[in-house]
Amino acid sequence: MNEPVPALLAGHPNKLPRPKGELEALQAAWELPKSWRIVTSVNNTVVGYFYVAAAVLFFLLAGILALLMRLQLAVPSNTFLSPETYNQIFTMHGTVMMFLFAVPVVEAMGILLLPQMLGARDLPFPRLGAFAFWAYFVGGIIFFGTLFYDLAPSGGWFMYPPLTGAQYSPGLGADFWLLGIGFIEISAIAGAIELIVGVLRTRAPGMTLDRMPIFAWTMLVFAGMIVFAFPAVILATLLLELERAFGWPFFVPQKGGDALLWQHLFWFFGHPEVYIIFLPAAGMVSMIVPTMSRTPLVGYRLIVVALIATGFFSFGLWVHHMFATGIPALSLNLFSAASMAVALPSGIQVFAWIATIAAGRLQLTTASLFVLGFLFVFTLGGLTGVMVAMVPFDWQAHDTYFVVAHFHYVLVGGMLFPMFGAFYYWAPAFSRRVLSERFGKAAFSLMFIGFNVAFFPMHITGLMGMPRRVYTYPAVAEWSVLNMISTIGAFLFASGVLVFLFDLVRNLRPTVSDPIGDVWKGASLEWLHNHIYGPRSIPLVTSRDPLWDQPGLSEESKEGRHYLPGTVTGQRETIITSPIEAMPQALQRLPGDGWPPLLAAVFTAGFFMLLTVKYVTLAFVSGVLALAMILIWMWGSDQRPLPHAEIGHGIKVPTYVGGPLSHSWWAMVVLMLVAGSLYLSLVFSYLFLWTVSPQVWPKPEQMPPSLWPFVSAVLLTASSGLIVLAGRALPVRSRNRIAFVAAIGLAVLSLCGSLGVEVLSHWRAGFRPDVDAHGALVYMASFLQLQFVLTLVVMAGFAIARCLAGMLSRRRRVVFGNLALLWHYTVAQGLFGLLLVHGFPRVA
Amino acid sequence: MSAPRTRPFADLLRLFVGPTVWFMHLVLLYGVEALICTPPVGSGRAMLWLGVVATVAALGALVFLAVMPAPRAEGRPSVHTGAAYLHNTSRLLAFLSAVGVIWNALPVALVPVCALAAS
Repeated sequence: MNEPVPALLAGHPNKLPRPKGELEALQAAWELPKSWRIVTSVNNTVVGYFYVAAAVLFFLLAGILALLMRLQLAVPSNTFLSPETYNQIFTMHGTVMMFLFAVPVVEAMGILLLPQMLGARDLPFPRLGAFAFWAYFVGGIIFFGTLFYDLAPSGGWFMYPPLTGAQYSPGLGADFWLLGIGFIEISAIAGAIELIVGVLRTRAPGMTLDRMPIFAWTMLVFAGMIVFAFPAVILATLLLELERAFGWPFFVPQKGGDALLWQHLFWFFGHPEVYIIFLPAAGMVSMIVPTMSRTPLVGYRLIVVALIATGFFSFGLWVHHMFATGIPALSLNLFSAASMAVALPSGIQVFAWIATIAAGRLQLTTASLFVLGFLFVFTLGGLTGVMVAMVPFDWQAHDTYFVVAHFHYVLVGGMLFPMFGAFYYWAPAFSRRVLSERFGKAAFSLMFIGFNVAFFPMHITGLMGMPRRVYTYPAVAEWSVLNMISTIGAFLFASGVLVFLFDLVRNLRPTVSDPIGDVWKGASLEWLHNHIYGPRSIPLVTSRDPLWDQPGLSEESKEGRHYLPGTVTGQRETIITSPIEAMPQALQRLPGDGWPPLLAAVFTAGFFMLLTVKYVTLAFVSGVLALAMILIWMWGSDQRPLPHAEIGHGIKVPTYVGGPLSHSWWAMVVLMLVAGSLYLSLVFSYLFLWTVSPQVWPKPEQMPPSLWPFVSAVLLTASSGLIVLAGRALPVRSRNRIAFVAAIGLAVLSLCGSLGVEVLSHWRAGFRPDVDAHGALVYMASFLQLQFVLTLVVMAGFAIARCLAGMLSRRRRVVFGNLALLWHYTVAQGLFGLLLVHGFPRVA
Repeated sequence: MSAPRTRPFADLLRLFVGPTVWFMHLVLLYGVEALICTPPVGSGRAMLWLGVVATVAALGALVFLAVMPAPRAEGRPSVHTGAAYLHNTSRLLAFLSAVGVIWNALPVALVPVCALAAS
């Protein structure tokens, strides 16, 4: 379906022949580091390979843990694993599968595929992507290693207190979970920011939002959901760690806390998490089905609607994990209804795929088989999902193997089968050889049969009353047979994975320059002649299925007839386009390879892990080194403005932009959404604990005098005003630096002063963080504010240093723009916090 | 010819208005029940009326969203722009959200407030 494009973009942007040396210059700019130095590469294809490989490694490790569990449960009263080891293994299996495989592998596929699919040369923040990967990999390996030192957590992947509090989990295991997973989630958020800005700002010219591949839509929704869901669990991990380390009683009922607060925060993350991993997999299915059926996707618009609706609806379901906690009947029914409502958008997608298959003629390739397997298994999981959405049924099935069967049908069906289909489908885009269809079909058969043999009987074992998370069971005849069948099925499934691995070793030959390419005759841009720099020239897109509707596009792009056929500045570059209409707006110069992102990730992991084992000094040394690496990397950002550059068709775009035109502005806005989401989780915690224990909240006369919050608010507002003044005092060239430096310095003092006044006011009023839940929450609000204040102090110092070095001016001002944005956000958050903490007890 | 006029933020945000109304409606009902059931326990009639008001307000907002005019480029409705596409998508989302709002309002009419589920 070709649609008109603005005349500005019509026709061939460039003439042939292309100048001599143009291609060689492009290749030189994108040349990769040699041999082992490849680890310093920040290019999306290389980082994407590493990312996918690491995620698959964690899948295999967690899979081995699953097999150990099945061995233990194969026969009753088995002594193969001790109870404590079994607890550690099921905790690590769930944690690794969810946090180290499911989310990262989806993010990895996004980093690997999106630039090529969108016609970009790379994602807009390559070093952030590399940092996210290395942080995840190093942190993940250390976390998994705890199993070998008997330091692994054993409280389940959901880590409910009080079981995971200091009293019942006194060792380091829970701390490793809290700090390790908290850290890995920060890496996931970094990746999400990269993906959101990438999808919105680096699409090929002409690729309006309604021409964007569904996979990109799903990655946009996926990343948006991470932005709003992950902060809740990051806050939860912070609260529990503070309770364990310093006795701040957020979850201790005797002091006004409540263990249910953890469940609310965890499942506000945990339920969307299911859709966070399902939606991108659904996006992959939406790419595979049309190609294999040789027909455009039916219901593109409805699918986009369904994706967004599912993303939103998933945030309204968290309480359905808490049906057995004593919540009033009306609230249970509210969430029961919401849980059923989500079937509506999910159903839209399933029917759209079936309609597409019916409209075309499906080739039964390995990828297609995995899609069909997905449809079967996921639909069964969805049906049992509707069953457990009914409160009375849920009470019967709660904490039994029925639930284990349900969520494995949803997760393996909804995510793993599409992922394996995706591996087979996209391998030719990145490998010199295709994967074997023969081995692929064998792998699918073993996995599909093995999965159903393993998990279908669990519905029955659950209905017969077998509870989850037990390391063994008595010799009840029916349980024994069903468990043995499940164990046989698990090993059958594992044999399918082994066949897949054999196929990988035998046939996968990763390459960045000459993949075998478009063997499936796909419609989207990743099937162009792609190299490490993406396509030779960035294509003009006039259709939703460009390679089907724009004949010759692949060759034209390869010849350099489209946009940016070389390098204008001699550096790595990509085109920044407008978020909705994909009109060219700027030329972004991308950074080259280097050590700082890798080292920053290693030292950040060091900081968190050393802190966990209580090596505080070493942890802070590691933290300072991480900060130094980040500053080194940032110093090379915000490069000197250059003249406008022509990207083809006579279109000249700026090489330097600020404000909403700049990609970094968008990233900062997304970061502020993350921060706001984290703070809202704290506000929820404050109000929730008040409803539980209003008696520990102070009476108005016990509150600090109003003068204290007033002074704090004035100082906060003044700091924002000083930042505005600093913006006006930005030097035009090398003069007037003193005014700028003075304004920033005073703003820092004012900001720090406001926080100091706030903390002092509570201390003088007699509030202590370890006495009751109110005190703990009040200091927690200041703790969150402190994080931003410290960040801003570093950023302010960085801005002053760049100003003094002549690298920050009225024209070259992106560093300052980002500082100002975050500053005003911090002030707004601080003012809101003052209103809540000082105002609420006075009116409640 | 100049590029079609775009308002990236407004257009992208409008996409999320419908589902946000659904979410706020759900959270409001849930939060109000929690407040009413915090001792001293409030009246069930208040919950019912609040549910009616919240549902009418949410549906009103969704209808308003659905009837808002499409964005215009250079004074004319722009058919082949991402903005127009987003506009239509936000209408569909408003419809789906309205179904969700009505569905979620039913328990307020049918289930007594503050009752324990087992009773």
